[in-house]
Amino acid sequence: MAHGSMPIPPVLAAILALAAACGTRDPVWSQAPRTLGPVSAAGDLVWLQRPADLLVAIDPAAAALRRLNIPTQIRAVQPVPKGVLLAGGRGDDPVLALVTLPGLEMQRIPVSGVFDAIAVPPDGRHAILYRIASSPPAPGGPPARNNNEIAVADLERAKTTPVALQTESLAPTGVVFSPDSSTAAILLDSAVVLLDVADPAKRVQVPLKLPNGRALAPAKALFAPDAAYLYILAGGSDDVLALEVRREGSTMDSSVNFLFFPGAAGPRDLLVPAGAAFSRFVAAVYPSGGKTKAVLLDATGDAARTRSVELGAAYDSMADPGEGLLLLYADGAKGAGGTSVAAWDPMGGRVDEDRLPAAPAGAPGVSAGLAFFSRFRQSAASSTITAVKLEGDGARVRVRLSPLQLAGPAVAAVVHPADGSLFAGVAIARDGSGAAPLRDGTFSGNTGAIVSVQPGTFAIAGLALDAEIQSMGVTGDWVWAVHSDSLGDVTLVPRASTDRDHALRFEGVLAEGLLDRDGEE
Amino acid sequence: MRSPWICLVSVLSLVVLPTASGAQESESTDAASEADAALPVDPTAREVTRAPEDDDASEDDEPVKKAAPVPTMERWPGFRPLLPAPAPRLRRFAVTTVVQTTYVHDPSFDLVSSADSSVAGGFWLRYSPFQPELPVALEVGWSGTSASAKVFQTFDADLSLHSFRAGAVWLARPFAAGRLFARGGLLLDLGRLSLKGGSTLTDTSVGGGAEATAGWELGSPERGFLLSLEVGYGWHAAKLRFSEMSSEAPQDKPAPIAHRTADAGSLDVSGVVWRIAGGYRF
Repeated sequence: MAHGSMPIPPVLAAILALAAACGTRDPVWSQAPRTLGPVSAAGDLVWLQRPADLLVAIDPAAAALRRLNIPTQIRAVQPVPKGVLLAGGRGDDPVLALVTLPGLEMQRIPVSGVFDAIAVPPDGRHAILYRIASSPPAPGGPPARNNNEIAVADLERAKTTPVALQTESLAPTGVVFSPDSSTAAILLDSAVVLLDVADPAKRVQVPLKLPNGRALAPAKALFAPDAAYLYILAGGSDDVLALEVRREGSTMDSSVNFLFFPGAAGPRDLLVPAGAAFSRFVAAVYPSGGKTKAVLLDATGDAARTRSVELGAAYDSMADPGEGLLLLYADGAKGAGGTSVAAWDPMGGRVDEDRLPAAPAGAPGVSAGLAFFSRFRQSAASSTITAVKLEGDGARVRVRLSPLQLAGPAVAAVVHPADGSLFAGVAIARDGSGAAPLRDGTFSGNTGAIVSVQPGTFAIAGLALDAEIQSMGVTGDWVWAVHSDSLGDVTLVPRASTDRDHALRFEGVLAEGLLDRDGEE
Repeated sequence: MRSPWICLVSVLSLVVLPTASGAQESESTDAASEADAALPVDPTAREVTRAPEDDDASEDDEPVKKAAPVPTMERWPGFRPLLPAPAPRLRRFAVTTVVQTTYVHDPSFDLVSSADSSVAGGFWLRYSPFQPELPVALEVGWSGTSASAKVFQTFDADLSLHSFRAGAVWLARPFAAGRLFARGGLLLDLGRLSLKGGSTLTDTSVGGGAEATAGWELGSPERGFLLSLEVGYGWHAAKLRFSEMSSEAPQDKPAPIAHRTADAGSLDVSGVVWRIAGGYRF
C-alpha cells in the first residue's frame, strides 16, 4: 500500500466537516420573543410562549405547572369562564380555540379567518373577534384583508358567525359590551356598530361624522346598565354622544343625542355611575383654566335633569367607589396631573376637595368606598399609599385621606375583587428584609415585597419575596407577582396569607416544554 | 461552537493522519524484523557460526552475520528443533482517540444548536483477549460534546453531553488495505442542560441506548498505529429528560420561597454517527 500518497485524510476530513455542518435550525428559535400574558383565567395563570407555540398554565391550588402545544401564529388570548380563548393562526389555517382550565383540553371552533383580538362580554358566553389596523395579514393567506369583517362566536355552541360591518373605517379600534352582555358596540374610527351578541344579524351602524365630513373618533364608550344607551366620548367634540339602542323585532335601530353643558368644552372623561338612580345619566368632567365643571348629563338630552358643579382644581378622571359618590382626580398618566382629589355627590350637589401628597401617576385601585393611590409622579412620594375614602351623610360629603408609609417605592398594585383589599408590590432593600440571599450568598441590592392593606381597617401585612417585582395581578384566591426574567419567573401568594411558607415560586415558566414542542421541522 | 470542532477535525485528519501513515511505514520495518525473528531458526545454529573473537566485534558487524549463509541444519540427518519457535507478538490492547459527528434527528436539538449535528471527541480502550483464535475485541470508552445557542434572542441554552460506552468489535480478516470491522455497544448518557436568562436554570439527566457501526480500519493487527473510519446509528432509547430545571439557589437562612421546577421536556440524541478514530496498539 502506498501510504505516502494516501488521499484518505482529506476525504475523511471533508466527510466529517460536512456531517458536522449539516442541517439547519428551525427559524422559530431565532425569533424575537413574543410572549402573551400572563392572563388570569379560571383561577390559573396563563402564558403563551408564541415562538414555541406553547401554552403554559400555573395552577396555584395544585402547585402545578402544565403545558399544551397550541396552533402556530396565535395572536390573541382572552380569559373566559372555562379557561382561555385563543385566536390567530395562519392564513390557510385560521384558529379559534377554547382551552379549558385546569385540564388544558383544546377545542377548535371553526372560524372564517384570522383575527387579531378577542373581546368577551361579562357573561363569557360569546366572543367577538376582530382585526386591528396595526396587525399585518397572516402568513399563508392573501396579502390583504378586509378589517370590516368580524366574527361573533357562540362559545356554548362552538360556532362562529361572520359579520361584514361595511363601514367607511379601516378597522375596529375596540369593542365594549353592555353590563348585561346583550349588546356589543364595535368602535371604529368614524363609526359605531351596535350588535346583538346573541343574534349578530340584528345590528345597526351609526356613522360618526359631522356634516363637514370630519370624523368623530370614539375615545371612550360606555353602556348604560340596561344597554338602552351607549355613551361616547369622541375626540374633537365638546359633546357627549348618547346613542339610543332600540330593538324592534328582528331589527336594531339607533338615534344619537348630542349631550352638552352650556359653557363647558373639552370633556376628558366619562363615567356611568352605579345605581338605579343613575340609570339614564352619564357623568363627564370638563377641566379648563385650573377649574373643572363636573356634569351629570341626562341621556335623553333633557337639560332640566342635568346636574353640575364647579370645582376649584383641574380634574381629568373619575372613579366610582360606590355609594353614589364619585371621585375626581387628575391622572398624571394622562397629562400634567395634579394633587387635588374631590368627592362629588351628583344627586345632592355636594362636593369636598383635598390634596394628595403628590400627583398620582395612574388610576387608583378602587374597591367598596375606597380608592387606593399607590403610584405617584414625584419620587419623594413614591413610598406611600394613600387611601381615599369618600364619606357622605345627609349634610355633606367628605374626602378622608389615609396615608400609609412603605419601605420602598410601589411598583405595582392590584385590588382583589373578592374583598377589596389592596396588594401593592414594593421594592425594598434585600438585606434584613427576610428575603433569601442572592445566588452568590450576598444580600446586596433590592428585592420585592407584597404589602396587603385591608379596606376597612387598613390593617397591613407584608411578605418579602426573593426577587424584585415587575407586575402584579390576582387569579382566584392568589396574588401573583412577576419578576424580571426572560425565562419567566413568578411568585404566587395566597390572598389570605402573607406567610413565606405558603408562597410558591415558579422559575422557568417560559422554558416549560421547550424540548417537547410540536410543529418543528 | 461548530467551527472550532470542524477545524479540529480537519486539522486532525490533514495533519495527524499523514503522520500516522508515515509512522506506519517506519513501523513496517520493525514489523518485518519481528517477522524475520519469528522464523523458525535453531538458536544452536548461531553458536555454530560464532567464533570466540566475535565477542569484541562492533554492532556494525551484525548485518554481515545476519547475511551469512544460514546453516541448513534441517538438512542434517536426524535434525529436531530443541525449542519451539516464538509466536508473533500479539498486541492485545489499543487506545484510540475518536472524533465523531452525530446527525441528531430530534428537532428539539435545535434548542441548543444551530446545526442538526453534534461533534464529540473521546477516548476508547480496546482489549483483545481472544486473539488470534477469535477476532473480537472488547471496548470501553467515553466521549463528550457540548452545544450552545441563543434562544428567542433572549436567553442561552447550553447542553453538555457525556457518553460512556461498553461494547465489542468484530474485525474481519485483514487484506492489503486494512480490514473491515463491525462494532456494537451499549451507551450511557449523562446530559446537563442549562438555560441562562435572568437566572440560570439547570438540570442533569441520564439516558442511554445502543449503537451499531461498521467501518474500515487501516493497519494490520501486528502494527502499532491504527486509523479507522466508520458509520452507523446510535439509538438512545432512554431520552435525556430535563424535567426539573431549577436554579441552584443557596439554602442559606432565610430559606428561599418554595420553588416549583420547570419541565423543559425530553431530548433524543439518537442519530447517524460518523466516526474517525486514531490510536495505538500495545
